[in-house]
Amino acid sequence: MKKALAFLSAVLLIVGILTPAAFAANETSGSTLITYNVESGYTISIPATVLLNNQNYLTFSAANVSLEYGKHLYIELDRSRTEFMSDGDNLIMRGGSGNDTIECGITVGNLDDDQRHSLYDTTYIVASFASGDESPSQYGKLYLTPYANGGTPSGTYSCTLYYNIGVR
Amino acid sequence: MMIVAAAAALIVLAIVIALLLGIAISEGREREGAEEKSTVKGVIGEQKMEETAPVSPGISPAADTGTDAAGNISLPGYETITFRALEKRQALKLYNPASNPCYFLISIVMPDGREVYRSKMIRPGEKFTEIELTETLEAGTYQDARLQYTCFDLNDLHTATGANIKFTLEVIP
Repeated sequence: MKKALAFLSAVLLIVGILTPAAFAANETSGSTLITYNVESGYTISIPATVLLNNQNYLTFSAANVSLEYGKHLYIELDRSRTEFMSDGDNLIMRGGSGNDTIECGITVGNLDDDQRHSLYDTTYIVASFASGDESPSQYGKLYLTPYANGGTPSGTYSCTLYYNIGVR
Repeated sequence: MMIVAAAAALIVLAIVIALLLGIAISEGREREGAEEKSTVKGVIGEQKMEETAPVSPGISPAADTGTDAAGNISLPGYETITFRALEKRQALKLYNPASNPCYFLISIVMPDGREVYRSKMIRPGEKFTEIELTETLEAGTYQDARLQYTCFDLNDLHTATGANIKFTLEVIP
């Protein structure tokens, strides 16, 4: 009986070893390519209004920034729609009638330091984000300084900023 | 010998029962997990619907639109948009986030300056998943097409701000 059990065990062992090898001999290699496209997109947040008497700067942020590797999301001032002085340095702010105007200086800074750059230096870029960023990796703060003197008629002066936003 | 065989059979039976129990418990836990995820998704969906501004005919000042504390305007952007060639109706998600303090007017402008789509005023919380172009487009890749946002104040409809979102338009046959 013991011999029979030993023999049966040996047979089972040999069959167990040989069976996968036999299947492997008939096997053809295969593969499954699994792909999933993550659509690139983002949401930019820009201030709706800023009252310069209370705060002389505005900031930009982003959410859900999903970009291809190495690309950046940028926000730049749209020079064709934003009203600049003819020299391109300062903004024009118009009073209620539209005839009264004042100039407004504009510079760009980072969120984490007080350095300021001219728009020429930043090529009108006001904020730049890397993929996944919510705060700008470069710049992100726009300083505005209205120049009103004693002869400036009182009233509310305003201007509208327009932006170009893109990825590169 | 019979006793040994019976003991072996009992052990095998116990192992099989234990395995079946383990599988049943494991499947039960997986089902519970799936139900939790479904519940979370449902809650998220409900929150979005609650944020959506009430629909009212025409354009009227909307006071209860969930304006965020900072008074910021959120602009959804895309790096690439894909359209089908020679078709006017196109699938595209355009929306005005519910927290925005403004109406949106959205245009799609081709790189040569042709406007091929202009929306109506879009209230905060309103969205579209399909648009109709004013003309059909030939297949090709159009770099620097623009999604042009103009934002209008909810109360007096003056232009609050605006932005051009530059994107690559892929028009496929």
